[in-house]
This record gives sequence, structure tokens and C-alpha cells, in this order.
Amino acid sequence: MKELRSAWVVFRFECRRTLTLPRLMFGLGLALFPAAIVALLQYQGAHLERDERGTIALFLLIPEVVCLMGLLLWAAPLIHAELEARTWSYLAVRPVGRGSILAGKYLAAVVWTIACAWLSLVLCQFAGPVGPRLTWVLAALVPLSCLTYGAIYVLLGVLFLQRAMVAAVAYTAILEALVAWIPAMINQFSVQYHLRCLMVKWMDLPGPQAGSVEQRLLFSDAPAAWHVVVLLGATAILLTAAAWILRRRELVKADEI
Amino acid sequence: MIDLQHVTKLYGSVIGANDVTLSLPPGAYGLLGPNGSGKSTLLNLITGQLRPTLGTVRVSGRCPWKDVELRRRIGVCPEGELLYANVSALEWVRYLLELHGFGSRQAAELAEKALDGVGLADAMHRPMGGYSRGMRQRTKLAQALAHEPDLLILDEPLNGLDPVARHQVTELLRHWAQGGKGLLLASHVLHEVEAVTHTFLLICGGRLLASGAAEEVHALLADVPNEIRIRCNDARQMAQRLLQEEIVEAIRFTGEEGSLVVSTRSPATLYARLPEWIADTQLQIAELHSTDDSLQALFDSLLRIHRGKP
Repeated sequence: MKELRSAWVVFRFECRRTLTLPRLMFGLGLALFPAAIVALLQYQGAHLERDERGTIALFLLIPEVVCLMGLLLWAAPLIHAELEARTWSYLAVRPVGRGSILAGKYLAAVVWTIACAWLSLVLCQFAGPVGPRLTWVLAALVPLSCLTYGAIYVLLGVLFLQRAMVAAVAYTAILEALVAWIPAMINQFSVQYHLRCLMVKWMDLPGPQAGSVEQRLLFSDAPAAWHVVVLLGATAILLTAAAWILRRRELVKADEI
Repeated sequence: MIDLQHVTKLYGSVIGANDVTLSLPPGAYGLLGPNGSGKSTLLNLITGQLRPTLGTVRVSGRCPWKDVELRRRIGVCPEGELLYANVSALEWVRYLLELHGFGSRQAAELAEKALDGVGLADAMHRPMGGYSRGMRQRTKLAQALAHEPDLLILDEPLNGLDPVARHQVTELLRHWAQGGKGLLLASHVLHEVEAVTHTFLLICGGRLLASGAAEEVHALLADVPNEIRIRCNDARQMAQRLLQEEIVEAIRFTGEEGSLVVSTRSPATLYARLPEWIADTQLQIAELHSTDDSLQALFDSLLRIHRGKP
């Protein structure tokens, strides 16, 4: 209970502290990017409601690009930013577990990114008719995407304190952009694979049954609930690992020794 | 209060603390050492931010690395002075107090009281980004004092303070020490520590070289040349006058115009007689201060003794 309260205190403070004009402007810019692409597609005569390519484009833009970009900037350097600013030691000498601090900061980064992605979805409605079903599916995929990617970036940030952003970019480029599209079982280790499968299920798009062997390896015929459980389970495991590592690490900068 | 047994801390091949053993009953102590001597390492070990490579650290009989609850009784003011720029001092101190377990309203009251106590009543609602260095130092001090800990650990708390603020903070710490609570004050300036407490721990190169009362440290200093830097309108004429005095052991020109460094074993006598010499020679002194080298010389002497050299 005490740990939960501490996490809430950290979350509240982080939300307030990060409410700055540069961050708001960046968030708005990030939210506007998919809307601009939708407007361009609309201009070229695409029908997002019916067009499968439009659906895939929106999937790649909102639960992927917007969420990944937001979390890359706000979740990956959670601890590194505190160490650089030399503010970590004020938190670390308080009688709360480091896990609570991590949880509060993680939640703040996730909430910021979800807000940004949902705003993007709203803006897309003005740029072109996205359709209610696609809107709801994307809106449901955003929190799953943010929670899981956020947990991965937090773990990378705790493991590679000085190179948190580099590690997160490398992970995204290799696993989420490359491995996720390899038609082999290895793609199941990417978050995108599960999000993609959920998208196909919830949108009733042509699934693996109808396609070739490659297509069957790119999509799963497991029920949607399975993918949700995998994503949430991975989030819990990754966050627990991050908290465990953080509790054991000595976080003092070289010039403070 | 604090008990360290053969504590060594290694950062790879660099040694931060070297076989430190000390046992401090409740009271006020000054941790004195030059920059990079291992003071912060020792403080980080005591506050549980670092784990000793060898040996044991106990505070009130408990291990600070493992026992999170122990931190409830400790107030820490680290050396770094960068704070959240867009957050007010009141918000920040209140936040830290809430993390300490206080309810929102009580945290706000305690934060206001602590900030008022360090003279930031008027500025506490302003974002800290606009604070002067002295104001940031006082904010840091407020967060360490706000929860009324049993042991206060301060790393260079007087850095950047103007003379008035320095006096206020010194008085505050003196009262704290007189209240019977624990205080560990780290500094590289002897007189800063001396103004608060008369019990010192001398550290250099990660080793605890000596500990004791002010008189004992002064006795050690008596055999060590003190260096005083003087900047005046004619350094050579000043040197000529100073060389006539027996208390002056050496004079060195720094290369800077009008500047010289005087080495003496009797700095107090030199300070007392300087106005007379200035009057004799009609020289004008623009700047006069003791260099840190005298303290470094003391530590060098102690290190030699520690290593068994003559």
C-alpha cells in the first residue's frame, strides 16, 4: 500500500513537472504527424474506411510510430535524466523503494504517450473519415502498445544507463522494424507481431487461414485474448526485472564520488 | 550513531575509501578533506547509496544499503546543486516529504516551515530555475531538514552562499548541533567546519588520516606552512617588506600582476601585523586570502605520517 502511494506521488509530480511548453509542442507535433499523412492519403483518393492499406498505414503510424517516438523520449531516459540532472540522490535517500520511483515515472511516461496517441487519433478524424471500428481498434491498441514498449524501454534504460536512448533505438530498429517482419517464429518475440495480430483479429482482416505459409508466420490464429495476455504478461515481467536491477545498482555519477 | 569497520570502496581500479574504520557516537562532526579526497564516497556509503566493496557500514546499528526504513531518520543534502527548473521550491520539498510518508497537507506545512527556516519564505513559490546559487543551496538544506531527522548529513552545504546567508546557515547548523542531534558536515574549508563543530575527521586519498578536536588539528597545522595570497599595487615592494619579518618563510610570485604568495607558520601574527606594514610602505592591498594549499599541505603531512615516512 505504501509502495503504491509512493508511486502515485511520483506519478503526480512527474506529470506536473513535465508540463512544459517544449514538451507540449513536441507532443502536438507528434500527434499531428499521422493526421498529416491521413490528409495526404485522402487527397490522393484513398478510402481509409474500406482500404486495407489505409488501415495498415494508420496501425503503423499511431500504435507504432507515435507510441514508439513518445516512449523513446520519455520512458527510455527515465533514470539517466535524473542522474544527469543530479536529482536522483534526493529521491534515493527517501524511505521508499526504488521500484516505486520507477513505477511512478513509467506511468507518467505511458500516460503522456497514450494522451499523445489518442490526440493523434482524434486529429486523424478531422483529416479524413477513419471509421468508428478502426478508431476503436486503434484506441484499444494504443494503451497495449504504450505499456509494453514503455516497459521494454524502461528495462533498457536501467540496463544501459549511459546509453539508454541508443539501446532503445537499436532495439526498435532491429527487433520491431526488422525481426517483426521476418516470416519465421522469431517474429513472435517482437511486440509488433502481437499488436499486428490483434489488429487483424479485431478488424476481421483476411487472416492466416486464407494466406500462404509466409502469411501464416506473419500472423497468428491464436485468439485475441492470448495476445493481450502475452503483452500484459511481458509488461509485468519486464517491469519487475527493471525494478530488481534498479534496486541493486549503485547509481552515483563519477564526479560525485 | 555511525560505525564503519574496515570499509573499502573500489570503483574498478580506483579506490574511493581505503580501509576506513571509525565509530562515531551521536554528536556533530566535520568531515574535512581536499576535493577528491573521498568525502562524498564516505557519505554515500553512510546514506546507503553505495555498497562497500569490503567491510561493514552501520548507522544506528542498521545497514543503510539494505534498510530503506533507516532513511526515515536521516536528512541528506548532497553536493550537486542542479534542481528541477520549472518547479517551485515549495512543490519540490513537499514532494520529497510526501515520499517520506507524510500526508499531502502535513507535507505542505512542513515544507513551508523548513523553507521559511532557511530564509526562502518570499521565494518558495517561484520556479527554482530562477534561483541564485545561494537560494538553491538553501532549498537543498530545507529538504534535508524538513522531516526533522535524527542525523543530518551535509556535503559542502556552504558552497555558493553569500556572507549573510553563510552566517545564517552556520547559525542554523550550530543550533542543530547544540540540540543534541547527529550532524556530519563535509567540507574542504577548515573554518567553515570549525564554525559549526569542534570535532573533525580528516580524510585524504580515501583514508581516514586523523580525528579529534579543533585544538589537535591546529596543533598539526602549526607545523605546516600556511600560504596566503596577496594582490596589491606593487608586489615586489610588498615582498621586500615582508622578507624583513622572521615569521615569513618564503615568498613566491604567481606571475599575475601585483600578486604574490606568502608562506608562514604564523598566519594569525601575519594578519595582525599586516596593517602596520601597509601603513609603512603606503601599499594598497586589493585582495588577501588563504589558499587551500595550506590544508593540502596538512593532508600531505598526515599522509606521510600515515605511510610511516618521516
